[in-house]
Amino acid sequence: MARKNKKHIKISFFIGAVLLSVLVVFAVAGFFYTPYSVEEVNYKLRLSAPSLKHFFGTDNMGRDVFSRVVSGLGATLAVSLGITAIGAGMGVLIGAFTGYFGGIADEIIMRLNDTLASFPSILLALVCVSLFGSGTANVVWVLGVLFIPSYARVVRSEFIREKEKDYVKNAGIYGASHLRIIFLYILPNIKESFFAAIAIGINNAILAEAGLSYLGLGVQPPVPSLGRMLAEGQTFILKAPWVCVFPGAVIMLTVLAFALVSENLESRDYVSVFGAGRKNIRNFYKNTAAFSDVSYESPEKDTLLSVRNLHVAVNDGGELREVVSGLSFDVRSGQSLGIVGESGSGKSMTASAVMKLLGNKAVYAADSVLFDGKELCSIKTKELNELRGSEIAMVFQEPMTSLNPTKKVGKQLADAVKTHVKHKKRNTQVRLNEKNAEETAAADKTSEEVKQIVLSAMKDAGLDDCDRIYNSYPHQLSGGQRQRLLIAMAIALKPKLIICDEPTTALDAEIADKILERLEKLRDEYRLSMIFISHDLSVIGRLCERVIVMKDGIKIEEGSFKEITDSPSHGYTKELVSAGKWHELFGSGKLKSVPAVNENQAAVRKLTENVRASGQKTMICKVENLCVTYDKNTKKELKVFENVDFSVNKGECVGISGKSGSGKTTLLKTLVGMTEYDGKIELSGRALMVFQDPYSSLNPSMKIEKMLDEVQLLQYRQSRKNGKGAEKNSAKNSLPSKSDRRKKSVEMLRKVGLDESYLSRKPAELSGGQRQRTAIALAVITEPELVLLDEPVTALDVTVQEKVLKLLMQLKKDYGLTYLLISHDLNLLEAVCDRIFAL
Amino acid sequence: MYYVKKLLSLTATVILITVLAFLAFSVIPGDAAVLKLGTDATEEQVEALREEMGLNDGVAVRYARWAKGVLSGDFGESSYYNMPTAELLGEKTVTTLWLAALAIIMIIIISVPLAIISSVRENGIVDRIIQFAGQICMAVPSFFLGVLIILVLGLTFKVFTVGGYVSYKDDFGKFIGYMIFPAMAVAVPKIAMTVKFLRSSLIKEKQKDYVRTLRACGTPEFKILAFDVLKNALIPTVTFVGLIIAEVLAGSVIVEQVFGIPGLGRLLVMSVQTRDYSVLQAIVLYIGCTVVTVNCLVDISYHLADPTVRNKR
Repeated sequence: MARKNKKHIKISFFIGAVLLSVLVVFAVAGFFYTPYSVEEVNYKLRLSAPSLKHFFGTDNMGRDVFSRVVSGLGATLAVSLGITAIGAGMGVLIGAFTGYFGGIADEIIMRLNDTLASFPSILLALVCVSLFGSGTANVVWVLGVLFIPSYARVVRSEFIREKEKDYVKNAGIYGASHLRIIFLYILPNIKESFFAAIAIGINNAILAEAGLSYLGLGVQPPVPSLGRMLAEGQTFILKAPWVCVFPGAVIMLTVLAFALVSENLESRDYVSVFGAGRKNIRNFYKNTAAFSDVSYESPEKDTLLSVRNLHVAVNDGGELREVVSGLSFDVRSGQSLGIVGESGSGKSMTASAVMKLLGNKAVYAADSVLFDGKELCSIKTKELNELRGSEIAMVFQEPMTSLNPTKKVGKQLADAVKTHVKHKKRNTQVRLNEKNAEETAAADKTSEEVKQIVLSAMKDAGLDDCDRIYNSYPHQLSGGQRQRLLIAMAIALKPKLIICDEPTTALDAEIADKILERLEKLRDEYRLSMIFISHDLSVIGRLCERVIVMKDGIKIEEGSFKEITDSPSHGYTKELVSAGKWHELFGSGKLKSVPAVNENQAAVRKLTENVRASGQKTMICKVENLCVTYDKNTKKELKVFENVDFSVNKGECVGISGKSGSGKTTLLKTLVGMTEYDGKIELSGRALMVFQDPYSSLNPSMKIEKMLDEVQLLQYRQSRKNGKGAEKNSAKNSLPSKSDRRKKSVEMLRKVGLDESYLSRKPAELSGGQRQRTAIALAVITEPELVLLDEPVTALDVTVQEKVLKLLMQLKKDYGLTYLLISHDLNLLEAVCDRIFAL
Repeated sequence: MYYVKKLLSLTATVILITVLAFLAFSVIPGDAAVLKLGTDATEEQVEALREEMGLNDGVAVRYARWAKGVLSGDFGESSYYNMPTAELLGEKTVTTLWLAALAIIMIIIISVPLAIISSVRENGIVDRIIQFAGQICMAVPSFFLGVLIILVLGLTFKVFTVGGYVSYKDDFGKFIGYMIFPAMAVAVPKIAMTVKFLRSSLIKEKQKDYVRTLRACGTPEFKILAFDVLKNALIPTVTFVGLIIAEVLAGSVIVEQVFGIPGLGRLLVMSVQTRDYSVLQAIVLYIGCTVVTVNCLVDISYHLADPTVRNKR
């Protein structure tokens, strides 16, 4: 899974870099040597044109323009570097502190910042110069200070975004100080946007300095200045244009060079497949025929969609990588086909390729994609648009972003319907000519009729209160409502085929269940054919008769659902089938009874009594009457939970279950001191946390060795600070040497199934499972008294979930750890926990 | 409610600006009486003038007196021209405003279509040419561009008469005909910036999931662009153009110097050189209030255009 880190150097970057280095070399050389003295006046040579003797000619006093430009460039660069140093240095400090701490100081400073930044800096500089006097030092200071807000703003917004990430929170839990977090954790992660801001800032500084100098208020003689030269040359511009054109051109080239270089420092939002080079793409089209499936039967008569030898490729660091290779399948009319596989197996790409929705994210080639007798590979865009939405429809994974945020949803649905009403109208006109005018009129539906179509589709998709929703914006609706809207959009015109790409993955279990139920009903009512894509075999089982199993872009198994689940032939399919069946894996005998404690006070009390009964065990954590309220004493006051009592004994694994929004994560955050609370928490020893999303819980700019080292270092510091460590275990009192710490890190990595070679890697080079293993290693290496696990496997692929969970259980046994485990999956909790309670 | 809040915050900022302008030009430069009389004056003379000018009162009293004057259009007297500042500013302000307005109209008319073409033909030849030209235009300082326009269009091809400024009071048509060229010098670098911003905003918008939904419904590509993508991409661009307007005003000030236009810019530079503080004070106040008001209008239009922001408040 190691991602290629190769960066493509674009030609514009190359040009910029060369230009910049040439200019810098001249500027630096100009400090030591110029062909003529800058102030050498020679009236005999007044305004002589450029020649070999005077490359850029001479000015009205016979001074050599080339020498003046070179030393002027040096001065300009030095001045703008000084300005940038002041601006960026102060800006990064102000931005970092205001962004990290927030609060009233942040409000005031940023309001001041905004007011200052909204003024044109050159005007403010003019005013300041008039107050404090001109002169080089003054110009540098004044402009430097005026540029502070632009840097502070960038750094602040990056800090606000970054501080919410789990790796920053985690550092706080380990006991890293605020200063350490700001400078060691967050700052390295924002360097890209900071450098980009500096490159833009240097340019603004150059332009501002030149502007001031042009007005005669910037750098003062004898220091040469490009802006002033330009102003001086303007009087005899027709006679001797070179006197002002050359300084101007040099300013322009310098700014251009910085801009070209900085352009390539900014990160790109997405990678276009065409970045992989035309030659690679041509080869892809040529080669796909060679990898074709051995043989495939021609589709049967009632086949609605048949795909033959589909290949899809994306741009991976400048190279084309196939994500779907030689896929063939059929969907008969009235049949549902499930495609199952883990993330990255190419299942979504397949769906997009069939709908021709890949855009410039990927290229595809196929021998044939035949839908209802039409070859989609070679179909015209116009005909394709007539098919899309009315014959084939699609429901996407991301209900939150799949609707236009600035349009009312009713209008969006109506527009989609209208598009096809127009198509149909045109077709009828062509076919019937003037013969059947009535039917033409029927096709010409009024907007009222369109609205009725939309409303009935919304009703069919299971939405209540359709009239209100019709006039709502997407952000006013819940995820489930939005997904129903997308389903309504898909079924509004009664298509023959509907492609569902993980339609329930982003939703809560309960809502997902209802959506699936509705899809089942719709499938039967409309006699829809369906392609259903999911990573979850059990979801597929509810809707599909046939299943395709995909892995790494290849179809590894196909058959009826029963065949696949009863007798999987491929090893991966076997893993997939057993995934999620936690009882079989861990044995369900451990948990005697499941106290389903649902906001039920009596039951909670029963749990605490149980604990008292087994009182001999050492209690690690005891929570009494805990209550957490957000935005207390304001209008937005929100009670997350109240009256929570529980305790955790040493060596136990206690589970907490609950729906999303029930405050599970908040409870853990409260335990590690990240939230204010009422009530009592007694915690003996350290509690560390493993977060749900391994993509944000590891610091992207730190190597794994450094992370593991940090944790050990911070633990040592904390135990020394507490003072108690000295009496309790003297072994931990002295800081282990660097090699000892490294040894321990390696040992820990081996324990979690990684090895020494991972020490030098950064999180970007790891797969999801490897990241979560690293996160676990970080939490366990210092052997804390309590490990809090926040949905530790939810973000992972199903087959990986099992391995990580096994690892957790093994570590618990080896180190005698105590777990507090959060999950929405009651089966999982029942399988691994000693006790469970519900929030 | 939102608009009331905005209005209040606008008022607060304007008051802040007046306080800063007052402090900067009435307190920092030192004793105004000494400045007026010169260092040769005797102490009695200075003291008498101080009393006459009311400099012996507290800062707050002086500010109140000054602010009252400003409200009734009295900005004090120019020490260099020896005439009321308000009179001095009147015509020049209108000239500069026209220059800035012309530049802004140019920016909007030219950059929106260019950005659309560029984003539709992403990475094609036309797009690359537009991007390359944009890089160069962004690097040109506006005063150098002004000099080039004078050299090429004015002196070589004689499209316009250099220095042939006509006041808008005398002949409005000729005034605009002359102002187009300085406006060009102000606008070109900003056009390049706006095209770059709007282009990337359009491309980003086209990658969003809802566009995929529209495509999956069979909506033709030009309709997606015209009715969905363009509007959503223009929302952040409005803020961006709001920021540029401040810079356009600043650019106008410098370009006036290049083309010899008797506007606010030349007056400003003159006043800086002669330390004519009451004129400076008035100009700063004027530009500050203009910029803040424009930003406030931008915020409100942003608020109107984006329902997600509107409903959150």
